[in-house]
Amino acid sequence: MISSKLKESVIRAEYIEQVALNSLLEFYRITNREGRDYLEVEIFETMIHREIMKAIRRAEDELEEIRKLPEGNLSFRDLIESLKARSDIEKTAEILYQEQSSAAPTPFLRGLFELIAQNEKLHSDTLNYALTARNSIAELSKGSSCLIEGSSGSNFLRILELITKDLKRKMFMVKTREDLPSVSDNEILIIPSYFIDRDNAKNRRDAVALATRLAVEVSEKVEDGSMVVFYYANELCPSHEELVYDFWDSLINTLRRNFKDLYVVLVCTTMLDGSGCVRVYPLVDYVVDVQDVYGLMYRVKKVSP
Amino acid sequence: MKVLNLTFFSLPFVTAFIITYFTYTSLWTAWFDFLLWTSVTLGFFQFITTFIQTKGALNYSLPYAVKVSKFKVAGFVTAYNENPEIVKKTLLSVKAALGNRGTVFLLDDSTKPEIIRELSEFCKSNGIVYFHRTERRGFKAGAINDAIKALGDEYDLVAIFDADQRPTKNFFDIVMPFFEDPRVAFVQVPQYYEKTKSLIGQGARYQQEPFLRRIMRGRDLRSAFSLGSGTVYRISALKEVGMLEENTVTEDVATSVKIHEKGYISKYVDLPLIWYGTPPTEVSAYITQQSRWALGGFQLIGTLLNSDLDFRTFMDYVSGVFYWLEVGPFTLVQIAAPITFMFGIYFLKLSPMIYVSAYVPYFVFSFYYFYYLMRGTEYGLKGFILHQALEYIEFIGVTASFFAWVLKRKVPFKVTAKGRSTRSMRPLIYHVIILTLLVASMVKGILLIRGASPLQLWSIGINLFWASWHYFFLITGVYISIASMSEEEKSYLSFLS
Repeated sequence: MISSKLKESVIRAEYIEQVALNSLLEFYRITNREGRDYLEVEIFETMIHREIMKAIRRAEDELEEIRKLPEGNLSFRDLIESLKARSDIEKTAEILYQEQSSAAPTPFLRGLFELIAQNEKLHSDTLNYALTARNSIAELSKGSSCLIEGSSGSNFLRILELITKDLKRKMFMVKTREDLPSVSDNEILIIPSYFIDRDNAKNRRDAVALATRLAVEVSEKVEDGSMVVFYYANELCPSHEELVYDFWDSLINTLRRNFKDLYVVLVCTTMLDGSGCVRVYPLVDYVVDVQDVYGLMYRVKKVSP
Repeated sequence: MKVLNLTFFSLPFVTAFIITYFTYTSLWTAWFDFLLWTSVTLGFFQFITTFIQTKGALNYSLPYAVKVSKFKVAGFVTAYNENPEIVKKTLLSVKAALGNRGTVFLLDDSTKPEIIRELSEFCKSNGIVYFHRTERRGFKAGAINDAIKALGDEYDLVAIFDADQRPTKNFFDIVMPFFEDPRVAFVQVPQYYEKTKSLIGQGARYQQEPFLRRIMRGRDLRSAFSLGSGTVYRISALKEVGMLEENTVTEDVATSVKIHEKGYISKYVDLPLIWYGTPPTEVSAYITQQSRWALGGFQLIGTLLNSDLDFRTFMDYVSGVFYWLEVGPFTLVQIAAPITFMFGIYFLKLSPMIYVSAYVPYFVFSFYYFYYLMRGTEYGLKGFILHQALEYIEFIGVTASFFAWVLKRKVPFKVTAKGRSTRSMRPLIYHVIILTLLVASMVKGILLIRGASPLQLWSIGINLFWASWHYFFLITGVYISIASMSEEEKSYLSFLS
């Protein structure tokens, strides 16, 4: 569920909270009544911070154990229906946390209960949306290309797994960084020589030459009838915004010329200002707008005519 | 000794001999005439081979995309009494780069007990295999060979890093895919020096530019040779050639020759994948380094003449040997030529007009070609001047290495590194003597102008040009050596004067 990097920082945070707590407790022992009153809130909240970090770590470990359980036969559709039948549990929980939020003595606790209540509501909303969303992913197999777009940290791999399952194709993953997680046995790594040339691409001719050469090299490594994923697509194209369309146009067309049947997936992160790979929309059949993969919050838009 | 090898190798000498036959003035000075012509023919042959090599360099390119490979790698870090903190950082970098693709080994030949203890404990607590030898047979090459023998058949590749050279995180991701081609026996990644204020250090960086950006690129997939660190070998290829060569100071080049003889190729990946640290920043360290490399080059001559290399590969290697001959003993000959002329020893019988009409176009063209070749790099005019000046500084050390090789001495030019002012001044004393002789010859030449015939004027002019040329680069070399000295060394210099 969480990356090893995040797990590491959670452990570090837990340690830091404990250190902070020890320091506060030392002062608590030596200070007078007024000082103790002041410190108590801080000590209490620091304890909660520490426990939250601990809880994240334990939940992750518990999940690891649960994953070892053998798979059952209940389909995704039946699962959603079964969960819907029990959706009143989520609703009850939501109401409970809202009540706790109003009764909470400190702003921190109020915010915390409010957040949990919102999360319970999200669970219930996504439950209603899950089947529609899942079915929309199946729609992607009608086309020959798609763009998966979302903010950094969205779990694109989960969507890719779903697409691979529906398309039943061998996946070739073109990675722009070696530290991106592995989901395929067939990985192609873009090496710094590419990025040197990408940064030197100043005009349309350079962008087309760059894209064509990259497409030719990728073509040598993928198979007909497979699915090729460019992860992350926005790191591949030249930085000049006006070259993005020409770059992807040349790259996708060269790939199309080299194969009879190839499914092209571009994974693109949206920037803080909301911009992303909008210029690529005319070149793909579908855009998957990812908001919260684990909550199955994504939207598939058909963009090609 | 292969006839073809010997024929090609001796061509500059034979050519020089023929020209000498037509230009010598007396039997007493014919040997000097021959040496001077040899310096010209060596330069010319080197220019031709560089021209051929670098034609390929201009088309050099690396792939954009590589298929991720799965080889099992042994990452070797070699150390000998190095600062343990530096070694630890390198070990952690190799471990981070290697990930779960293999094991990191520290091949420690240290003799100091406190270093041995500290490093072995560090290795134990960080999952690094610690290898220690009590006898240093074969030095670094011996340590690597011993470790490979101990590995058995568990690993496919072995990566070698010096104790102060840290690979980047993506080092293996980029290097390993090239081994998918079974003809590739090793991959070499260049050593990028970091920028430094020292002019010697800057010169050393610039000096590497033509070699790393052009020569090695031109030798890619043919005769690119191992630089000793940042090399990843296919273990089966190493075993096939009887492991690393142990009886030379530059085991990397000698082993590369053995590998190329077997028909394997080598890949040169010109990307900054290794943090190399600072170049030599003061004159004695720089000369020691260059003398060692030069000695390795001279030691290679016998191996090359007896080798089964194909002609292009042989030519590439011989070009390297010619370079050291030219930078070393033949620079001395070139400097001596105008001095002897100005002092009335006329060893050459050649019309100055013929010399000018033949040499000037070659000189201009070779300059233009070098400029054309280095376009798009950081080199520039400053790089050229610092590079040339350093070659004039190193030539005495390289010449000493040449004679050490001829006389079969092991250590030709031992200069103590930083902090020992009296010793580190020594190399410059020779340069100061030569500079004095050059100034005297220039003064003499200017005095000769009065009363000279037009033909003599041409001769004096040519020799004045060369004397000034040598003087300029030599004085620049001396200046940058002094400017790069530590404050302690500079104070010693002012004390002397």
